[in-house]
Amino acid sequence: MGLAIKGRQIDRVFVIDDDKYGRESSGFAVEESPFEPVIQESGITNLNSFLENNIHITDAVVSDHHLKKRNYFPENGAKVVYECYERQIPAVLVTRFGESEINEIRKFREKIPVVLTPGEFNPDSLINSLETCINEFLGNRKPERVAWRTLIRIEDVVDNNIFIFIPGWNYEVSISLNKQDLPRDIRNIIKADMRVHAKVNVGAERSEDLFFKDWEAK
Amino acid sequence: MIDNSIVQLAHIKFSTEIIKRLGEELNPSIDQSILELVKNAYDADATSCTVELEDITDEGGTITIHDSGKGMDASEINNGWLVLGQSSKSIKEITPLGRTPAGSKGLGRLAALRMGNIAYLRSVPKSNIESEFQLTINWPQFDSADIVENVELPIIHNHLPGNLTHGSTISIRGLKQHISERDVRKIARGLILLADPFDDDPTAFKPILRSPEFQEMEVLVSKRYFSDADYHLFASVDQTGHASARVMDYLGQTLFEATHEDILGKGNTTIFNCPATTFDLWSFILNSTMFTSRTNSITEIRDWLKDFGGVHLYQNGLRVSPYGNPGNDWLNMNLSRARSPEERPSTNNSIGVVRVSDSEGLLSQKTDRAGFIESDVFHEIRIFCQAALDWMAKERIGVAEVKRQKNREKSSSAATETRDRVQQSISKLNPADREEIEELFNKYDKATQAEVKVLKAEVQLYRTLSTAGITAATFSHESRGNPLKVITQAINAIDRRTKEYFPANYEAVFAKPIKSILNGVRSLEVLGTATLKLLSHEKRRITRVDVHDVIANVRDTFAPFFEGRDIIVDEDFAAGHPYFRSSEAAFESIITNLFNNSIAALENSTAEQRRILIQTVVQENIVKISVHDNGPGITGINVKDIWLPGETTNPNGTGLGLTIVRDATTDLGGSVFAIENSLLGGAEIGVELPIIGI
Repeated sequence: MGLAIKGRQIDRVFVIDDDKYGRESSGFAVEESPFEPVIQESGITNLNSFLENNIHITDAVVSDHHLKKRNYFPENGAKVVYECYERQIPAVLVTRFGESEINEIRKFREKIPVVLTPGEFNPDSLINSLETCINEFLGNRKPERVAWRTLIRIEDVVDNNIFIFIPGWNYEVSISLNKQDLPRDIRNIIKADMRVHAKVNVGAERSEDLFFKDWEAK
Repeated sequence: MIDNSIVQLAHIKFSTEIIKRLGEELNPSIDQSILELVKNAYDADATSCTVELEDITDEGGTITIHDSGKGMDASEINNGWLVLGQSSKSIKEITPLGRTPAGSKGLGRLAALRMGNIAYLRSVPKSNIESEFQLTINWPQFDSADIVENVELPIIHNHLPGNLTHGSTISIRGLKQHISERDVRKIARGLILLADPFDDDPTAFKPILRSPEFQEMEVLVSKRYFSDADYHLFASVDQTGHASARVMDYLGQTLFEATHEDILGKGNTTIFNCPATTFDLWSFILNSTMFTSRTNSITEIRDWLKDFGGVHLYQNGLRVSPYGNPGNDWLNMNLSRARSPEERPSTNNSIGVVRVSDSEGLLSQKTDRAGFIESDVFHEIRIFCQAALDWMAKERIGVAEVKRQKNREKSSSAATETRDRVQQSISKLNPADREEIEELFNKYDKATQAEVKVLKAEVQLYRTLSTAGITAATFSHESRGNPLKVITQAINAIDRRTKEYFPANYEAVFAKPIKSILNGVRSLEVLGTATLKLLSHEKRRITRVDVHDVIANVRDTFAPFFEGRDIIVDEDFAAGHPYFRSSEAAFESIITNLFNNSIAALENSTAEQRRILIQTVVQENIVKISVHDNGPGITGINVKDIWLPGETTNPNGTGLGLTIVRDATTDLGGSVFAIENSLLGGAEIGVELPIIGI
């Protein structure tokens, strides 16, 4: 079994979820795919050493975002996928997320090529997602994942939340960001009605898929 | 023929217009200009510095500044004092008196010297106290010359045997404008505050202005009402960027103490990227009852704070304007106080000093001397001070809450005690009066007790509902995560596998139940999302609220409820988009509770098709929003009582929904109304709200 995607052989897929039944049910789709599911039953105390120790057998990863509820893993799944990306391991985030988690994921979104809902996760979408990841490793990002320098208007700053408009993406939709996710120098000066620039994947269709980097303010 | 021979050596020349521009455009104010000259005296290690003002009530007056600094010889005047744009003093070189030079670039000095028609300098260098050097700059000469270099400035030397006093004197004569009394007060204040008068160091640099205003202020500043402060915050950042803080009471006893993590919040170990800094803030509770037992009056403190209040910033011992000037609130103290007034100092009731030991010169002042360039280092200092203020506020609120709790207990026992005393006094009255008063008092007592009972019940109900809300949100959050994920993934696996293993029977046997489960999951997802949507933080900020958009959003959120209960919702909206300013949450709570009310009423409906109609009508600056239903109408309860808390005809209801509608509407400046039977046959309940536009 296994499958070669873009010249890369994928045999085993690690399934990471802090809930026993969550791991099991995520494993169903992997079982039906050409890959062998490796269910990570025990908790992970250190992501770096986990990845280093398993890198030789980790061809790909499927992780839930919520991993901290139980004594399973000290970080959330967005960070797991990000770290995998840094090591060029294709990884997919399969999770249900609400408003409160959007910005947790957004922080790492530049290096999270695919986020699937549990309903969207099946053997076909798994293969497609892994292909998307490998394509990004090869330098081929989909247009909706490429960041361009664009103008950002700060609508309001309330406590730890910043409300912005990105006219180059959609001038009608206000997006809320966490202040602490911005670089320190920008965070310090940001205020309502200010205009700044950042690189944003303005080709994204949904606001939750947007990511931001290289902020600039005069 | 090309021989590349040099025919002339050229230089960039400056028009005299440049001097005029620099001098005039960089001159922020008279007091600031004089301070620039006084800072030069500080850099020259002067121990005394006197400013004299003569004939200043009209144009043409004179400002003279004497100092006892190290003075200058001809070469220092020519190559230092007269060179603009370059500082002769490096901030990293400490003077023999241990001062870190302010390191001005001479532009402030130019601005000051340009205030008059003539600038005169006399200097006796410490290295040669038998020599006197004089220089006169006659500005009109510059106005008639084309370029700066064409005006020659002779430096005159006199050899005067016998020991002269070293130092410099600068006179600015023929002032172009008069100096008002207000300016004099500003100059006096600037001079007094320049070298940290709060430090109580007798050897500190103390410039003097010869004027009655100065003496008056000097007396005021020397009063030092710090011991009357109710709270003294002392916070510091060390050279490694770690902060600590403590708050002391007026006796100097420590009330609260904080480590770096306490200030920034547990787990936050970010360090401050700024030079070593200390922050003292004395905060006063200016309330006459607090001052009755003190030696100083509240008026004295108010006057003192009026002149010296605010948070002043000292870089290497010298004050940097405008931080702490009247109207300058660089730490946003007033804004923070406006947002959460409890236990927060403002610039009117506190005085503060931030002292930065900037030996590396990381903070640089703007060319026009109007504060620092807004660099990262400056922001870090600001953030440190604000974090210390936030921490102090949090600690003070904690104490205030404990006090409130105690007062609550005390006031309840105090009420019982007073009641007993009134009853005792009544029993001492003569029998004829006693009976009547006793009866009246008993009636009053009964009514009050009933009122208290209602209020207690209402508070209890609100608490219970809040807890129910929090629990619902937690459960929604939880169920939206794992259980729904497990069901979705498992049923999808069953769906795929039955299709693969039992293709012949799939449609007939499996398809329907699988679809039912998937539909059920979808409904559960929507219901959970609906609960969480109500709690979105974005909805709690004040913004432009579009009436129709919010109604449509609430209707969409409720769509699965309406569908599940076979209720058809119709809309009849006024043209346009009426809007007002408020939080979306406030308006949403009105619409949500009106919908909930109709949904509950329809449970008792006998109509074949259950209906809700939501209508908006705009009349002048008012939008009327009404929710009609075809339920039984308002029955079994008086119409005006439906708004009272706890009043409900629904056995499972809380009786609070319409009370919330009434309270939220009142907050928005509107009014509520209810009609027992209207358009659809059932009740019509609605609100009228003032709008800004359509």
